[in-house]
Amino acid sequence: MSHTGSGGDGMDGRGGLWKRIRHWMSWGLHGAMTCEEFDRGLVDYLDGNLGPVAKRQIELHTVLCPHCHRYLRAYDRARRVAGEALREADEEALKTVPEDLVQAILAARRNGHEAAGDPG
Amino acid sequence: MERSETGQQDLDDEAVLVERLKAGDERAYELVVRRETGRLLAAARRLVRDEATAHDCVQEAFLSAFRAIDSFEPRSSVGAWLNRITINAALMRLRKERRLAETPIDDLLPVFDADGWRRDLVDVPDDDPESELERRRIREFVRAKIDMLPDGYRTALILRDLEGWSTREAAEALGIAEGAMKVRLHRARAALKSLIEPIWTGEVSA
Ligand SMILES: [Zn+2]
Repeated sequence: MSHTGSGGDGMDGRGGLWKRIRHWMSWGLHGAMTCEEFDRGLVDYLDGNLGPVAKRQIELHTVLCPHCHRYLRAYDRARRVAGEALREADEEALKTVPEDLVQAILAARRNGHEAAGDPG
Repeated sequence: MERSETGQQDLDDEAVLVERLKAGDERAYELVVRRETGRLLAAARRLVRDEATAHDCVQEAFLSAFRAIDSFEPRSSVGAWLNRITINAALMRLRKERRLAETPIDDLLPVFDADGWRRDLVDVPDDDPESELERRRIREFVRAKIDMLPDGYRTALILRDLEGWSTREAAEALGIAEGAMKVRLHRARAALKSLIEPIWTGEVSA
């Protein structure tokens, strides 16, 4: 992916409108946040840790900004699919538990008992 | 039933199991080892990414857990308790080996212009693919990408998004401040998103 610098707003093919929305968000709309501020609030937002004002700001930004709207969806999808992918690997691992490890753990406990003796 | 003999069915009852463990019952111990080792090993492997080290972590966890069995409080299950101890053992390893340092992954993080506006416009399909085979391939692809994340980020992602730990718990276990933990988690998710994006945009086929 390359960033061509000038005309970056035009990359989604709706540069003019988008520019106006951004302008409006920065100056016309009290309390609107930039994409970068939106980004910084995501973890708390998804954890439900934001106060009502900050939460509303995030939600408003999601509605107004197509970039962040899509970003949030991709971000959320990524964390969900990560969980699914790792859990699937667990299920595979459960099918073959190494018996030598089980034996080593059982033996370590027996040895530990003998070594520790009776403190009483 | 004989006084001193504990039957298999009784051990299925978590409260009885804990009682027997506290009493030092060998059979109860073996049952827990057999029941939990697979799951614990998977948890340790995910973090340390090395089979022998993962084995050591699980063994260490069982030994330290059952040395401390008297302090076990039935707020959680024995399995969940062991899971936590195993993860902490694995994190200790990572910390000792200095593998948890934050390494730069800037090229995977979102780009903003000077005014704070986002530069990238991601394309994500609305739904998961319908075919189970394809979903399975995606999960495989995602696992490979998770493996590519530096330890410090992968760990943050696993603790929060898989193990379900709170920010505070994860921060404590990693020995960092809560604010730093949030930043690390955010970067881990953002980086993973960048890594798996090609499969959504069709640049890589599942
Ligand atoms: Zn935005």
